[in-house]
Amino acid sequence: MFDRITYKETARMQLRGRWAFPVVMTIIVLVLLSLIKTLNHLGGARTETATAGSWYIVYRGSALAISLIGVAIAGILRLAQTHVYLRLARTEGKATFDDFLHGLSFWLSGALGGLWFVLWTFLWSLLFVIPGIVKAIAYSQMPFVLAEYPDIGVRKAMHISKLLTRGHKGDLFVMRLSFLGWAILCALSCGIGTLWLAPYMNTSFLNAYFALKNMAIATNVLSPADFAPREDKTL
Amino acid sequence: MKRTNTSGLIVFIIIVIIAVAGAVLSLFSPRSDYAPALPRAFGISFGGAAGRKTFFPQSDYIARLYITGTIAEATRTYNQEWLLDTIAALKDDPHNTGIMLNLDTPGGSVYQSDEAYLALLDYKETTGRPVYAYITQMSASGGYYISCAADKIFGNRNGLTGSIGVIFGSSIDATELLKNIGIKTKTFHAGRNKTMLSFDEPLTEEQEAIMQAIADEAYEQFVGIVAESRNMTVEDVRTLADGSIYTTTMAARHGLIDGVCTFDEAIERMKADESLEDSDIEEFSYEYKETFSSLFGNILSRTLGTDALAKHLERAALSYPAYYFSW
Repeated sequence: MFDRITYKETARMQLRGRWAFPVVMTIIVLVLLSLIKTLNHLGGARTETATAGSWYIVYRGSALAISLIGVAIAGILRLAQTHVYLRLARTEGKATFDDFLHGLSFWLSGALGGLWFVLWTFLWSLLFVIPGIVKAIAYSQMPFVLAEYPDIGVRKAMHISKLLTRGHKGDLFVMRLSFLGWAILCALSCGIGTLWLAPYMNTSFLNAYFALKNMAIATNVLSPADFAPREDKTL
Repeated sequence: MKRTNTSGLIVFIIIVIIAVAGAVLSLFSPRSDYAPALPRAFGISFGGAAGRKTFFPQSDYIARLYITGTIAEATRTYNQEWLLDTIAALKDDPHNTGIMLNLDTPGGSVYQSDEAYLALLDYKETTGRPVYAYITQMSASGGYYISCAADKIFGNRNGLTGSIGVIFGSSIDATELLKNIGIKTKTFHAGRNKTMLSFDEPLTEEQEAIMQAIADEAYEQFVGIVAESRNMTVEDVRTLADGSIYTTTMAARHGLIDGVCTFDEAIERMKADESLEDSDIEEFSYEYKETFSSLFGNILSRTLGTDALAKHLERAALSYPAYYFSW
């Protein structure tokens, strides 16, 4: 049974006395993502001749390429963060910058995972906003799967994420809403509270992932063999 | 350090370099949208239905106001509401010292061209600030009409202008064709000219006279505005206003513009003539906002293949410089 209160309590226990690096890591990631966001403005800039013909295609093409670079980098950072939270959940020791760097070494999985996630969420959102949200929740376990099983491949991670969240998308949505009060408090603190809220949320959702995985194996939706690496080592 | 962490460190350094380089470049990037780069780089947003600017510089500036594409109510490159809003906002901004129109348009609708022209005149009269115009690739017909609000007009040496004239619709009489293929049509109407320009009724002499009178009236208005703006006699303008397109060099020779130069030189002339040496240049350009429905419509039309048809129709609708009535 999905028990969000337990996952959140466990997260607070896991983070007790070990908040320092997750907070520092959140600052690093937020700063990098904010700077990378300015790349989109660069993509939006155009010369006076860029409104017609081939220049327009170049302009639109470069804007798209810059957006994709941003998505890939966000994916890399997300996966690296998940590696750190995974270590916090599994060990007693404190997380360090080395753990973050170790997560970054799986940059290809992170970049492909980010792009694959955005591509499919975008395609579903073309139907309407709601399918986009539903699918975003369905694919939300991808970073956890990729962090726990680095060689599994992005497509297989997405497939497993869909199976894990089957019947639990509403639970995950409600769990996200349960952080709303904290998010409002963060807004009141000019966003400073986010530095603590982000690790708390990520660790809580990691615990939810562990529970979903155990439930999926217990109900034969998945077997441990399903988490084996892809043989062809492709996407 | 472990080998995997070394590769992680390399990835981290690359991400930091991309992030910092992106931020630095965006501060100094060329831009044609109306949001100044520095606030944009720090995420200050600019809202409004038609992209109305809500931030203005805190030091003196000349607004480089882009008029791009066919002049109409709203296209992907031109938006009348945005243009009028921007002129009104510039009028109210004490730091604005003048407007340099950046024209790249084949012309367009009579109504919107005149509305923009009058808004610029109002700006000049209310503020006492100068308006200059610069023709890039083309500023013909309705575009030239708007530039008549300027104190001085300059143009790129490869630019085109002129096309002073009016189009007031076309008549296609398909009665003979319908007769040949055996189709009989009948539109019931009261008022003998109510179905004027219908394809299934021949145009009468009276209707031709009505159409010509309307075109003539708009033409006289256009000629009068050119004569007043360029300090020429109406007769002199009429000899030039036969719908011909002129290169900027020819236009300068005829007195339709003040000179042929680069944009930077035009700005320098404006600063020198109007004592605006301390003013910066700030860009104001309409940027089309993609909506969900337009995005969905694009995908749908691409899927159905109607986008190619739409492009042909658009080209057929305005493949020449025009100052026309849209109705």
